[in-house]
Amino acid sequence: MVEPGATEPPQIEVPSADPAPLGGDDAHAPILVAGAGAAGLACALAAARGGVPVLLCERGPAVGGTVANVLIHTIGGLFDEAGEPVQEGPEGALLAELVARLTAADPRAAPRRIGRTRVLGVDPAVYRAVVTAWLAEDPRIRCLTQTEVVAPEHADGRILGATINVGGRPQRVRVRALVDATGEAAVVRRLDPDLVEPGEALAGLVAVLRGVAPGTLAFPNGVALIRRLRDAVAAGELPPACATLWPDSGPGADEVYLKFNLPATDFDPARMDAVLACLLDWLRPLPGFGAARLGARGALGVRDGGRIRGVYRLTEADLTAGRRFPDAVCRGCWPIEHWHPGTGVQLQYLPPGTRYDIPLRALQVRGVAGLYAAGKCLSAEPRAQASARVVGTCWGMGAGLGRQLAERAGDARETTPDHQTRLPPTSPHGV
Amino acid sequence: MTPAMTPAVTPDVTEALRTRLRAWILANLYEGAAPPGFDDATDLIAAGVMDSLAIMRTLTQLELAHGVRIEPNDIVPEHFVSVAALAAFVAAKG
Repeated sequence: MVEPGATEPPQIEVPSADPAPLGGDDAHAPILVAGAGAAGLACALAAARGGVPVLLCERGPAVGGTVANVLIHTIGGLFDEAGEPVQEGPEGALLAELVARLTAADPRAAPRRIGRTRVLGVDPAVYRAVVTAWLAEDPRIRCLTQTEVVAPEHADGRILGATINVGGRPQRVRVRALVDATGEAAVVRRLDPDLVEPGEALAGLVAVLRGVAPGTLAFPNGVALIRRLRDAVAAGELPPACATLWPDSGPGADEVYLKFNLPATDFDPARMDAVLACLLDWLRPLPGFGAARLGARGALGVRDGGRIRGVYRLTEADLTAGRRFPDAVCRGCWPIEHWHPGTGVQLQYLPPGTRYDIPLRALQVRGVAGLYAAGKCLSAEPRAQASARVVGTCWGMGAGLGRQLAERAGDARETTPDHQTRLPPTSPHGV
Repeated sequence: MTPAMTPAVTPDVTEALRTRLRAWILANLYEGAAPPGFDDATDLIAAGVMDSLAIMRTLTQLELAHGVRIEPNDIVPEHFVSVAALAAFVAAKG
């Protein structure tokens, strides 16, 4: 069992980095996955299961992505409103294994209801440990942390390779396919900024309080606290950042997760320190908060850091109609949870029982065969992304894409269909 | 019974209030479609409809459209559990 609440995430063993240089053998070229968050992890695991080598590059010091870094303690999108798994087939099996691994590692990991939705409550540190260990089990996956995909290379409308920066040392790799699972389309943006639609949702910032009396936020006490918070902001007792704050019980009985919702730009960590100090002083006289203290704080969680311009753009109408696609990679059913910069969160449930498909074409970058995005940066309308970006759906997207890429591995290299405008090729000498 | 103890709410007022609240809840929390068997006694919390976000929306609506001020201490499940409970609560506040 993994020790919950560990402050230092376990480090994955980094193999010596000597990927094959460009010009190597296509048949042995890996699928290059950029970003080891939900979509990237799932894509790597699924593709490796399909028998193809995977090079998984994570910019940060550890894998786990938004859940581990931003401190997400409820994983949505794994279950529908009835508590049934959302994904089916091989994707369903992979996600069932994720749930089994998380619940085996931590007895506190359990499904819970939030409104009509069902989520899996997790400790973000346990999640990180579980996925780190899982990746290390598959010898087909080579995972490099502190490694960034800096320069994708393509010619004749298809991806050929990329330059990756391994701990600051650039190396060129030939790839079979390139999957941008960075959450912000960082790799696609480097190829051509016009291939990415700008993001527009508020970002989330989580701070954990410990030492709170158990049951303090039992439903609907959290709403009463939100009411007090807003009154206090209006009265000038608390800074404006507290006006959109949502508190929630954490995985530990004495934990409260405070989620702030802020503009993704103009974020100042020092100013946030002052906000948290002020908030703690204000909370302490309230029942249950007398012994509260600040615990871990997450990185800024960017809900929409930009979406690729794909071969297909998933629409809100597709979601509400439960549209099916012949090239589906996974399914989604999470409500449209749109954190509008002007008006705050708007939650719209899909009609009861609705599940929609996410087509492969919404993960294919327009004009460049072999270049994909999975997770938050899929090709979608903002309100469609506001449902599809949930962690469980990102796992589904990665899993379905990884499987389909592995199934295509025996086929000839993909080329861009003639009706699509091909990007001009990158310099033959790299970037 | 002293005058101060007389309920300020007549059945007619409560019925009109219920009708308005029912329409708002169906339009905003059920996306317009009442599920089979829905009535004013339906347990909205057990149905997962009246979650934290929905209570926030509801109390904003009550304050804007019904001119009542909801205090943090008013935010208890008994006041939000059904259309009937909500109407009784708002009527008592008014």
